[in-house]
Amino acid sequence: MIATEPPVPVNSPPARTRDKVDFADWLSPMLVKELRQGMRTRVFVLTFMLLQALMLLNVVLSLASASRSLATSGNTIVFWLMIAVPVVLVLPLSGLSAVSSEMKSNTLELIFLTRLSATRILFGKWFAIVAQTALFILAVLPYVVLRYFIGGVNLVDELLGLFFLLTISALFTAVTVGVSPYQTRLTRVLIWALIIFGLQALVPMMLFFAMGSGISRGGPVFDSANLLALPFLGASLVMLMLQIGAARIAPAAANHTATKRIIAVGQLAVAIGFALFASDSRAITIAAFVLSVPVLVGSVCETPRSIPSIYRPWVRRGFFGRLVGRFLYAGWPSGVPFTILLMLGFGWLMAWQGFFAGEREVAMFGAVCGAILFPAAVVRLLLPKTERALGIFIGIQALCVTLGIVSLIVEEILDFPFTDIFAFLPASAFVFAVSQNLSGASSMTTLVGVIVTTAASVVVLLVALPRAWRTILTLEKQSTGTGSDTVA
Amino acid sequence: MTPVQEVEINAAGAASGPTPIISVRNLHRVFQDVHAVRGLSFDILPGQVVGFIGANGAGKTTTMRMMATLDLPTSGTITVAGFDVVNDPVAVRRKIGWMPDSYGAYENVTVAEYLDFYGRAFGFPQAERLRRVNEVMEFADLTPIASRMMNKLSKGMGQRLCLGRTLLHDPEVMILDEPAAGLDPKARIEFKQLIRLLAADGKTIFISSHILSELGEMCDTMLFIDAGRIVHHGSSESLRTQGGEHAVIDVQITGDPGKLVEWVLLNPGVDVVEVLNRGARLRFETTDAEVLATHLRRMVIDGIPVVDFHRESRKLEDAFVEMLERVQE
Repeated sequence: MIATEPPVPVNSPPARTRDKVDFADWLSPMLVKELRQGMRTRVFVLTFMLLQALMLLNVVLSLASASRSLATSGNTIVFWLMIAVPVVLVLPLSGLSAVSSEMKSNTLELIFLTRLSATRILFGKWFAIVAQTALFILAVLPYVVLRYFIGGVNLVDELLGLFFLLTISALFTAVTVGVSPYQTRLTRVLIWALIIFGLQALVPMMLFFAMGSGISRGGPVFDSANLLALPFLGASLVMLMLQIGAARIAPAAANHTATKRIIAVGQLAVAIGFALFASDSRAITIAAFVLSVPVLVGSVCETPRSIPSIYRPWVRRGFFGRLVGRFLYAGWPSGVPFTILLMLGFGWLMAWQGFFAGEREVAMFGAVCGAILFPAAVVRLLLPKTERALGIFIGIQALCVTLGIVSLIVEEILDFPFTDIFAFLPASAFVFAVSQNLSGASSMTTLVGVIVTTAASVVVLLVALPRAWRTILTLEKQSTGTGSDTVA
Repeated sequence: MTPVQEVEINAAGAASGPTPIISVRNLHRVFQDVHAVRGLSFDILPGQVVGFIGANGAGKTTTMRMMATLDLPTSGTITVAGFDVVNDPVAVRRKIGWMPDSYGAYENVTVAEYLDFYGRAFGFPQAERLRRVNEVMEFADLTPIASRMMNKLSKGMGQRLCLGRTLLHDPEVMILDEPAAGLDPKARIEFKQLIRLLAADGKTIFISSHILSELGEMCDTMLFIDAGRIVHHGSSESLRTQGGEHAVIDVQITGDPGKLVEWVLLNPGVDVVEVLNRGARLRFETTDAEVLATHLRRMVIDGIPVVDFHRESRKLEDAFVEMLERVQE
């Protein structure tokens, strides 16, 4: 039987701040749903139970041993490995299906029709996994305390180690959740490559904890201003990855490009801030530049969006809003000037910090900039109407890197300067610079090749800009009107 | 239900009469090499129940998705309650309830939790959310299955849950994409009953289906789409009567049906469709009521012992197929 009365209509808009008595009401709806759902999954329940069982077993075996010391290196490795596998691997990897499963089951669109934005969806999913990870960490705390009472371990070190694991897990989760909406073969290959490299990084990390490097006593990595920069750069990585994921699933009328570019500007600002107040923050500058690379690549590859409403928020703010918007609109026509400006910003900062001590360093920075601009210029020159610029970009990049590696090997075998031939390809030049195979004439050839190619790429992109900008100026005008026709 | 108010669309595409709640003008959608929607223009008045009918690939779902702000038109405009779907998608989303043909079920989420999640996502505070969730569960008869996992529901229960979710924020316009597809007859009847209740409550309902007769019963007006174009806009009755060039009348007589067959042979403009035990089904090459009356009067005068006759109504499906054939010609 079904009811005979329709629900009582309530036309008043929901008051969002009244009647909030439930703790869950203070949390994101997505987080509440994901926690309810996630903590019932077999992966979570079984891993949690297994971890508890292994922890108990570890303690019992150690107590039963003759030495009764838990701090033997073998025992400590096993202890940290048991924690690290679920915390750094199992739970973060579950993020890979966080969005893709919703896309497959056709549930994401229904959520978009509510008040939840793509960013809030991604953030909720990320935070839910991090919260589950934190629950794992909390669940092993009694065993850590037990280890301390039995003796042989530094409690502060152990607690900092757990915090460090949670931080790494949160960052890795941001990466997996961020790439979750990308379901192409290429992205899957890249994801698995990342996982394999991540596993390789995990082993030395475990040894780091196992050998008691003494975080609290100050190791080489943690005793400088670099430690203070980690929260900033970590937060920017999380925001960036979640924005990359959100941009993929968001309705076409939503502009996530602006947020991503603002994050990249924030990374430059953090690097400048530390350069001003820390004695040596070159590592932070390099980290900030590396983190901004995905934004720069996206900026030069993105297809412009022909939806007037994207331009409206900027146009409404008058001259300055329009001016800023022209660096932040979705699409490569605004992305090219943004990329060049940000590269100049990082270049200036690195020069000020004395990073460019020799030709190799200049060639390396120039190669990275050129590697971003050169494929973008090739796309604009040969395939100006393509909507798969990013795929072509990655293809060109992969080809150039392969050529670089092959020419290095062949040069080593045949003793012929093959690297000089491919020095004009920035990605190949970067391989030469990284391989520390540059000296004398070779170094100068690479530098000249990189500068020529990068300059030529900038010229090609700047020549292509005016035509693309005509469309954008039309859209700016349309955004002030009421029409909704998209511009083909 | 609101009385049928067909909107006349003039050559310029502008509507006359009451302000429509949905207005579609010269809508196009092109997917790379497929022109899925070709210049649709129509208006829907507040409170109307509108059926949207077409074969697979005709452009129904594409059009509905654009109306629901889930896809962008290549060109043309759609306004819902005065808001443009491209320029004001957020405002449009508050006015509409969208029910896709397959809504997708979450694992490890109960029916009540599912509705609670959407209540939170719409931004309702706790008391308001609980009230709305309870009302919707009561309306869609979901209360007995509130604690059941939603991926364990039958198709009918799932569709009722999906309809309940669509109603949570009390939308003015409901866009339902083949909601009855795959339902068993009982679930279909129950679902139809829910739609009728919502229509009686004054909601504007835009519903697509393959089952024409079903929509004919509940819709004020119907839009027929083929290859991305509207081929008919009007009531099911207007489609039935449109373009029919013959009438089929079932005539019952006493005695030998052979007499009736002989009479048919002597009268031009009449054919036997089927000889029955006590009469025959006859096809008259006219739909004009006066001419038909003349034929039947003559039949009695000629001594055919007629005891009963009735005109068979034209099936909606037949009328639709004939109309498509005419359009293709």
